[in-house]
Amino acid sequence: MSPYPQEWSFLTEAWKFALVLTGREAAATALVSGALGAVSKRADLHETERAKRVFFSMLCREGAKAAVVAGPETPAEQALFFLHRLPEPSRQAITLFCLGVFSGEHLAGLLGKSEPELARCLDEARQRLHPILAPIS
Amino acid sequence: MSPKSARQFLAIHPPETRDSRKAVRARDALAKSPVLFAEYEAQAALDRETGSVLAGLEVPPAVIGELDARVAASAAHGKRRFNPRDPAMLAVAIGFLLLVVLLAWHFLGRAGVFPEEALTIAAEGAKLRTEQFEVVEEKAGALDDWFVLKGFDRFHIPARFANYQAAGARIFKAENRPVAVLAIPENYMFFLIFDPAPLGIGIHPEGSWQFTEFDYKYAAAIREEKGMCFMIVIKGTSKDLARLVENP
Repeated sequence: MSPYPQEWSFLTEAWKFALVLTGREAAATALVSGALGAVSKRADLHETERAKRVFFSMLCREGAKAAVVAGPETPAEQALFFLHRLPEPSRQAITLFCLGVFSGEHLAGLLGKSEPELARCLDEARQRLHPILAPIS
Repeated sequence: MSPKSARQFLAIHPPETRDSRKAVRARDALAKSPVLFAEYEAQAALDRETGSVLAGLEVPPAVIGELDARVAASAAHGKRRFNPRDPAMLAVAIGFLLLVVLLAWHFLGRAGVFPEEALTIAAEGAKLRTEQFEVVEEKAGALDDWFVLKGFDRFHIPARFANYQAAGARIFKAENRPVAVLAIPENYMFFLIFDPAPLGIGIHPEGSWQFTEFDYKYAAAIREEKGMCFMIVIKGTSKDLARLVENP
Protein backbone atom coordinates (compact mmCIF):
# COMPACT_ATOMS: atom_id res chain seq x y z
CA MET A 1 0.00 0.00 0.00
CA SER A 2 1.27 3.45 -0.88
CA PRO A 3 2.30 5.63 2.08
CA TYR A 4 1.26 8.74 0.11
CA PRO A 5 -2.10 10.48 -0.38
CA GLN A 6 -4.34 9.03 -3.07
CA GLU A 7 -3.39 11.60 -5.72
CA TRP A 8 0.28 10.72 -5.20
CA SER A 9 -0.21 6.98 -4.72
CA PHE A 10 2.12 6.27 -7.66
CA LEU A 11 5.16 7.89 -6.00
CA THR A 12 6.65 4.57 -4.86
CA GLU A 13 6.59 3.23 -8.44
CA ALA A 14 7.84 6.59 -9.70
CA TRP A 15 10.84 6.45 -7.38
CA LYS A 16 11.69 2.89 -8.44
CA PHE A 17 11.44 3.96 -12.07
CA ALA A 18 13.66 6.98 -11.34
CA LEU A 19 16.15 4.69 -9.62
CA VAL A 20 16.30 2.50 -12.74
CA LEU A 21 16.90 5.60 -14.88
CA THR A 22 19.51 7.30 -12.69
CA GLY A 23 21.11 4.33 -10.94
CA ARG A 24 21.48 6.37 -7.74
CA GLU A 25 19.04 6.72 -4.82
CA ALA A 26 19.80 10.40 -4.26
CA ALA A 27 19.43 11.24 -7.94
CA ALA A 28 16.16 9.27 -8.10
CA THR A 29 14.78 11.16 -5.10
CA ALA A 30 15.85 14.48 -6.62
CA LEU A 31 14.26 13.52 -9.95
CA VAL A 32 10.95 12.53 -8.31
CA SER A 33 10.98 15.63 -6.07
CA GLY A 34 11.51 17.86 -9.09
CA ALA A 35 8.65 16.26 -11.01
CA LEU A 36 6.45 16.42 -7.92
CA GLY A 37 7.11 20.12 -7.51
CA ALA A 38 6.47 20.81 -11.20
CA VAL A 39 3.24 18.77 -11.40
CA SER A 40 1.80 20.16 -8.17
CA LYS A 41 2.25 23.70 -9.51
CA ARG A 42 0.24 22.91 -12.65
CA ALA A 43 -3.29 24.25 -12.18
CA ASP A 44 -4.63 22.16 -15.08
CA LEU A 45 -3.72 18.75 -13.63
CA HIS A 46 -6.55 17.96 -11.27
CA GLU A 47 -7.28 14.54 -12.67
CA THR A 48 -4.99 11.97 -11.02
CA GLU A 49 -4.54 9.82 -14.14
CA ARG A 50 -3.52 12.83 -16.22
CA ALA A 51 -1.20 14.10 -13.49
CA LYS A 52 0.38 10.64 -13.38
CA ARG A 53 0.99 10.61 -17.14
CA VAL A 54 2.58 14.07 -17.05
CA PHE A 55 4.62 13.06 -13.99
CA PHE A 56 6.03 9.94 -15.65
CA SER A 57 6.68 11.72 -18.93
CA MET A 58 8.78 14.25 -16.95
CA LEU A 59 10.68 11.36 -15.36
CA CYS A 60 11.23 9.78 -18.80
CA ARG A 61 12.48 13.04 -20.27
CA GLU A 62 14.74 14.07 -17.38
CA GLY A 63 15.81 10.56 -16.41
CA ALA A 64 17.02 9.78 -19.92
CA LYS A 65 19.62 12.54 -19.48
CA ALA A 66 21.29 10.70 -16.57
CA ALA A 67 24.48 8.81 -17.38
CA VAL A 68 24.78 5.09 -16.67
CA VAL A 69 26.58 4.68 -13.33
CA ALA A 70 29.65 2.51 -12.98
CA GLY A 71 28.30 0.39 -10.15
CA PRO A 72 25.71 0.26 -7.39
CA GLU A 73 26.45 1.67 -3.95
CA THR A 74 23.35 0.72 -1.93
CA PRO A 75 21.19 -2.43 -1.73
CA ALA A 76 18.35 -0.69 -3.59
CA GLU A 77 20.69 0.40 -6.39
CA GLN A 78 22.09 -3.13 -6.48
CA ALA A 79 18.61 -4.66 -6.81
CA LEU A 80 17.72 -2.64 -9.91
CA PHE A 81 21.15 -2.33 -11.46
CA PHE A 82 20.38 -5.01 -14.07
CA LEU A 83 17.58 -2.76 -15.39
CA HIS A 84 19.67 0.41 -15.14
CA ARG A 85 22.22 -1.07 -17.55
CA LEU A 86 19.69 -1.67 -20.31
CA PRO A 87 19.82 0.74 -23.27
CA GLU A 88 17.01 3.14 -24.02
CA PRO A 89 14.20 2.96 -24.99
CA SER A 90 14.01 -0.68 -23.84
CA ARG A 91 14.94 0.29 -20.28
CA GLN A 92 12.02 2.69 -19.82
CA ALA A 93 9.62 0.39 -21.66
CA ILE A 94 10.32 -2.79 -19.69
CA THR A 95 10.51 -1.00 -16.33
CA LEU A 96 7.19 0.81 -16.74
CA PHE A 97 5.66 -2.33 -18.21
CA CYS A 98 6.68 -4.48 -15.24
CA LEU A 99 5.77 -1.80 -12.70
CA GLY A 100 2.26 -2.05 -14.18
CA VAL A 101 1.58 1.66 -13.79
CA PHE A 102 0.09 2.05 -17.27
CA SER A 103 -1.91 -0.02 -19.72
CA GLY A 104 -0.21 -1.06 -22.97
CA GLU A 105 -1.94 1.71 -24.93
CA HIS A 106 -1.00 4.41 -22.42
CA LEU A 107 2.54 3.13 -22.17
CA ALA A 108 2.96 3.33 -25.95
CA GLY A 109 1.57 6.88 -25.88
CA LEU A 110 3.84 7.91 -23.01
CA LEU A 111 6.94 6.65 -24.79
CA GLY A 112 5.80 8.16 -28.10
CA LYS A 113 5.66 4.81 -29.86
CA SER A 114 3.11 2.78 -31.74
CA GLU A 115 2.00 -0.50 -30.16
CA PRO A 116 4.11 -2.66 -32.53
CA GLU A 117 7.14 -0.42 -31.79
CA LEU A 118 6.52 -0.83 -28.07
CA ALA A 119 6.29 -4.59 -28.56
CA ARG A 120 9.69 -4.54 -30.31
CA CYS A 121 11.25 -2.48 -27.48
CA LEU A 122 9.90 -4.88 -24.89
CA ASP A 123 11.11 -7.92 -26.83
CA GLU A 124 14.55 -6.41 -27.11
CA ALA A 125 14.61 -5.76 -23.37
CA ARG A 126 13.43 -9.30 -22.63
CA GLN A 127 16.17 -10.75 -24.83
CA ARG A 128 18.75 -8.76 -22.90
CA LEU A 129 17.24 -9.70 -19.55
CA HIS A 130 16.88 -13.39 -20.32
CA PRO A 131 20.52 -14.36 -19.65
CA ILE A 132 20.46 -12.32 -16.42
CA LEU A 133 17.15 -13.50 -15.00
CA ALA A 134 16.92 -17.04 -16.36
CA PRO A 135 19.60 -18.36 -13.95
CA ILE A 136 17.73 -16.76 -11.02
CA SER A 137 14.45 -18.43 -11.84
CA MET B 1 -8.44 -13.38 -32.78
CA SER B 2 -5.60 -15.18 -34.56
CA PRO B 3 -2.70 -16.62 -32.53
CA LYS B 4 -0.37 -14.03 -34.07
CA SER B 5 -2.51 -11.03 -33.14
CA ALA B 6 -3.07 -12.58 -29.70
CA ARG B 7 0.68 -12.84 -29.29
CA GLN B 8 1.09 -9.15 -30.26
CA PHE B 9 -1.65 -8.13 -27.84
CA LEU B 10 -0.13 -10.03 -24.93
CA ALA B 11 3.34 -8.70 -25.68
CA ILE B 12 2.44 -5.19 -24.58
CA HIS B 13 -0.14 -5.74 -21.87
CA PRO B 14 1.24 -5.58 -18.37
CA PRO B 15 0.72 -8.52 -16.01
CA GLU B 16 -2.16 -6.97 -14.06
CA THR B 17 -4.26 -6.44 -17.21
CA ARG B 18 -3.79 -10.04 -18.31
CA ASP B 19 -6.98 -11.09 -16.54
CA SER B 20 -9.17 -8.78 -18.61
CA ARG B 21 -11.73 -10.39 -20.92
CA LYS B 22 -9.69 -9.54 -24.01
CA ALA B 23 -6.53 -10.95 -22.46
CA VAL B 24 -8.31 -14.21 -21.61
CA ARG B 25 -9.58 -14.41 -25.21
CA ALA B 26 -6.05 -13.72 -26.45
CA ARG B 27 -4.62 -16.49 -24.27
CA ASP B 28 -7.26 -18.92 -25.54
CA ALA B 29 -6.41 -17.99 -29.14
CA LEU B 30 -2.71 -18.34 -28.41
CA ALA B 31 -3.21 -21.85 -27.08
CA LYS B 32 -3.93 -22.92 -30.68
CA SER B 33 -0.28 -22.32 -31.56
CA PRO B 34 2.04 -24.29 -29.24
CA VAL B 35 5.12 -22.41 -30.45
CA LEU B 36 3.67 -18.96 -29.83
CA PHE B 37 2.17 -20.12 -26.56
CA ALA B 38 5.55 -21.38 -25.33
CA GLU B 39 7.12 -18.08 -26.40
CA TYR B 40 4.47 -16.19 -24.48
CA GLU B 41 4.95 -18.38 -21.39
CA ALA B 42 8.66 -17.59 -21.43
CA GLN B 43 7.89 -13.88 -21.79
CA ALA B 44 5.37 -13.99 -18.96
CA ALA B 45 7.87 -15.76 -16.69
CA LEU B 46 10.51 -13.12 -17.43
CA ASP B 47 8.04 -10.30 -16.86
CA ARG B 48 6.96 -11.86 -13.58
CA GLU B 49 10.57 -12.17 -12.50
CA THR B 50 11.33 -8.53 -13.35
CA GLY B 51 8.04 -7.40 -11.80
CA SER B 52 8.75 -9.26 -8.56
CA VAL B 53 12.20 -7.65 -8.30
CA LEU B 54 10.62 -4.22 -8.74
CA ALA B 55 7.71 -4.95 -6.40
CA GLY B 56 9.96 -6.50 -3.78
CA LEU B 57 12.28 -3.51 -3.61
CA GLU B 58 11.80 -1.68 -0.33
CA VAL B 59 11.97 2.07 -0.70
CA PRO B 60 14.42 3.30 1.95
CA PRO B 61 12.64 5.00 4.89
CA ALA B 62 14.73 8.14 4.39
CA VAL B 63 13.42 8.42 0.82
CA ILE B 64 9.82 7.89 1.97
CA GLY B 65 10.30 10.60 4.60
CA GLU B 66 11.80 13.01 2.08
CA LEU B 67 9.05 12.47 -0.48
CA ASP B 68 6.44 12.69 2.27
CA ALA B 69 7.75 16.10 3.26
CA ARG B 70 7.76 17.14 -0.37
CA VAL B 71 4.13 15.98 -0.80
CA ALA B 72 3.11 17.90 2.34
CA ALA B 73 4.91 21.01 1.10
CA SER B 74 3.29 20.77 -2.33
CA ALA B 75 -0.13 20.24 -0.71
CA ALA B 76 0.35 23.38 1.39
CA HIS B 77 1.73 25.35 -1.52
CA GLY B 78 -0.42 24.04 -4.30
CA LYS B 79 -3.91 24.36 -2.80
CA ARG B 80 -6.48 24.43 -5.57
CA ARG B 81 -6.61 27.92 -6.99
CA PHE B 82 -9.52 29.42 -8.83
CA ASN B 83 -9.34 28.39 -12.42
CA PRO B 84 -12.46 28.93 -14.53
CA ARG B 85 -11.43 26.11 -16.84
CA ASP B 86 -11.14 23.64 -13.98
CA PRO B 87 -14.00 21.13 -14.59
CA ALA B 88 -14.85 21.08 -10.88
CA MET B 89 -15.12 24.88 -10.76
CA LEU B 90 -17.17 24.80 -13.94
CA ALA B 91 -19.54 22.23 -12.45
CA VAL B 92 -19.94 24.32 -9.29
CA ALA B 93 -20.62 27.47 -11.35
CA ILE B 94 -23.21 25.73 -13.53
CA GLY B 95 -24.83 24.21 -10.44
CA PHE B 96 -24.99 27.61 -8.76
CA LEU B 97 -26.52 29.23 -11.85
CA LEU B 98 -29.12 26.49 -12.09
CA LEU B 99 -29.97 26.98 -8.42
CA VAL B 100 -30.41 30.73 -8.94
CA VAL B 101 -32.62 30.14 -12.00
CA LEU B 102 -34.66 27.54 -10.11
CA LEU B 103 -35.17 29.79 -7.09
CA ALA B 104 -36.06 32.78 -9.28
CA TRP B 105 -38.53 30.67 -11.24
CA HIS B 106 -40.00 29.31 -8.02
CA PHE B 107 -40.48 32.65 -6.28
CA LEU B 108 -41.43 34.73 -9.32
CA GLY B 109 -43.84 32.00 -10.36
CA ARG B 110 -45.43 31.99 -6.93
CA ALA B 111 -45.73 35.75 -6.76
CA GLY B 112 -48.80 36.00 -8.95
CA VAL B 113 -50.51 32.83 -7.80
CA PHE B 114 -53.25 32.67 -5.23
CA PRO B 115 -51.86 30.48 -2.41
CA GLU B 116 -53.29 26.96 -2.35
CA GLU B 117 -53.49 26.95 1.46
CA ALA B 118 -55.44 30.22 1.44
CA LEU B 119 -57.86 28.77 -1.11
CA THR B 120 -58.58 25.88 1.28
CA ILE B 121 -59.37 28.39 4.04
CA ALA B 122 -61.58 30.41 1.68
CA ALA B 123 -63.51 27.27 0.74
CA GLU B 124 -63.96 26.41 4.45
CA GLY B 125 -65.13 29.93 5.18
CA ALA B 126 -67.60 29.94 2.28
CA LYS B 127 -69.27 26.79 3.66
CA LEU B 128 -70.14 28.45 7.00
CA ARG B 129 -73.86 29.02 7.58
CA THR B 130 -75.35 32.03 9.33
CA GLU B 131 -76.34 30.06 12.41
CA GLN B 132 -72.74 29.01 12.94
CA PHE B 133 -71.78 32.63 13.76
CA GLU B 134 -72.14 34.47 17.03
CA VAL B 135 -74.22 37.56 16.54
CA VAL B 136 -72.32 40.83 16.75
CA GLU B 137 -73.49 44.34 16.07
CA GLU B 138 -70.27 46.21 15.56
CA LYS B 139 -68.26 47.64 12.75
CA ALA B 140 -65.69 45.16 11.47
CA GLY B 141 -62.79 47.33 12.66
CA ALA B 142 -64.15 47.48 16.21
CA LEU B 143 -64.15 43.74 16.82
CA ASP B 144 -60.54 43.30 17.91
CA ASP B 145 -61.49 43.19 21.61
CA TRP B 146 -64.16 40.62 20.85
CA PHE B 147 -61.61 38.40 19.15
CA VAL B 148 -59.01 38.95 21.89
CA LEU B 149 -61.55 37.66 24.40
CA LYS B 150 -62.00 34.59 22.17
CA GLY B 151 -58.21 34.02 22.17
CA PHE B 152 -57.40 35.51 18.77
CA ASP B 153 -55.13 38.42 19.59
CA ARG B 154 -53.78 39.54 16.21
CA PHE B 155 -57.04 40.60 14.64
CA HIS B 156 -56.40 43.28 12.06
CA ILE B 157 -58.67 44.72 9.38
CA PRO B 158 -57.29 47.06 6.70
CA ALA B 159 -58.56 50.58 7.43
CA ARG B 160 -60.62 50.83 4.24
CA PHE B 161 -62.71 47.78 5.29
CA ALA B 162 -63.02 48.72 8.95
CA ASN B 163 -66.40 50.46 8.55
CA TYR B 164 -68.33 47.51 7.18
CA GLN B 165 -71.08 46.44 9.57
CA ALA B 166 -70.55 42.86 10.81
CA ALA B 167 -73.52 40.64 11.61
CA GLY B 168 -71.65 37.61 12.89
CA ALA B 169 -68.21 36.55 14.02
CA ARG B 170 -66.50 33.32 14.91
CA ILE B 171 -63.20 31.50 14.92
CA PHE B 172 -62.56 28.23 13.14
CA LYS B 173 -59.46 26.13 12.80
CA ALA B 174 -57.65 25.52 9.55
CA GLU B 175 -54.78 23.08 9.89
CA ASN B 176 -55.04 23.66 13.63
CA ARG B 177 -54.49 27.39 13.22
CA PRO B 178 -57.18 29.89 14.23
CA VAL B 179 -58.95 31.86 11.50
CA ALA B 180 -61.16 34.81 12.44
CA VAL B 181 -64.27 35.13 10.25
CA LEU B 182 -66.74 37.94 9.98
CA ALA B 183 -70.06 37.71 8.20
CA ILE B 184 -70.75 41.01 6.43
CA PRO B 185 -74.33 41.41 5.20
CA GLU B 186 -73.38 44.03 2.61
CA ASN B 187 -72.54 42.21 -0.63
CA TYR B 188 -72.95 38.89 1.32
CA MET B 189 -69.25 38.86 2.15
CA PHE B 190 -67.00 37.03 4.55
CA PHE B 191 -63.85 38.60 5.94
CA LEU B 192 -61.26 36.08 7.03
CA ILE B 193 -58.18 37.06 9.04
CA PHE B 194 -55.34 34.66 9.85
CA ASP B 195 -51.62 34.44 10.48
CA PRO B 196 -50.03 33.36 7.17
CA ALA B 197 -46.60 32.38 8.53
CA PRO B 198 -47.45 28.97 10.09
CA LEU B 199 -49.30 28.01 6.91
CA GLY B 200 -46.36 28.95 4.71
CA ILE B 201 -48.37 31.61 2.89
CA GLY B 202 -46.63 34.71 1.61
CA ILE B 203 -48.26 37.48 -0.44
CA HIS B 204 -45.69 39.65 -2.20
CA PRO B 205 -45.45 42.57 -2.33
CA GLU B 206 -47.17 43.35 0.95
CA GLY B 207 -50.45 45.17 0.44
CA SER B 208 -51.05 43.83 -3.07
CA TRP B 209 -54.20 41.83 -3.85
CA GLN B 210 -54.47 38.40 -5.38
CA PHE B 211 -57.71 37.05 -6.71
CA THR B 212 -59.18 33.68 -7.46
CA GLU B 213 -62.49 31.98 -8.15
CA PHE B 214 -63.56 28.64 -6.73
CA ASP B 215 -66.47 26.22 -6.56
CA TYR B 216 -67.95 27.93 -9.66
CA LYS B 217 -69.73 30.68 -7.69
CA TYR B 218 -67.28 32.16 -5.22
CA ALA B 219 -64.43 34.60 -5.57
CA ALA B 220 -61.72 35.38 -3.06
CA ALA B 221 -59.22 38.20 -2.72
CA ILE B 222 -56.29 38.11 -0.35
CA ARG B 223 -53.66 40.55 0.83
CA GLU B 224 -51.07 40.64 3.59
CA GLU B 225 -50.74 43.56 5.97
CA LYS B 226 -48.85 43.89 9.25
CA GLY B 227 -48.00 40.20 9.17
CA MET B 228 -51.63 39.06 8.92
CA CYS B 229 -53.63 37.92 5.91
CA PHE B 230 -56.93 39.57 5.17
CA MET B 231 -59.18 37.66 2.78
CA ILE B 232 -62.56 38.58 1.35
CA VAL B 233 -64.87 35.88 0.00
CA ILE B 234 -67.99 36.75 -1.96
CA LYS B 235 -70.50 35.01 -4.19
CA GLY B 236 -69.48 36.34 -7.58
CA THR B 237 -66.52 36.66 -9.85
CA SER B 238 -63.00 38.00 -9.51
CA LYS B 239 -64.10 41.07 -11.49
CA ASP B 240 -66.85 41.82 -8.96
CA LEU B 241 -64.36 41.43 -6.18
CA ALA B 242 -61.75 43.59 -7.90
CA ARG B 243 -64.32 46.40 -8.22
CA LEU B 244 -65.21 46.00 -4.56
CA VAL B 245 -61.61 46.05 -3.46
CA GLU B 246 -60.86 49.15 -5.48
CA ASN B 247 -63.95 50.99 -4.22
CA PRO B 248 -64.88 49.50 -0.87
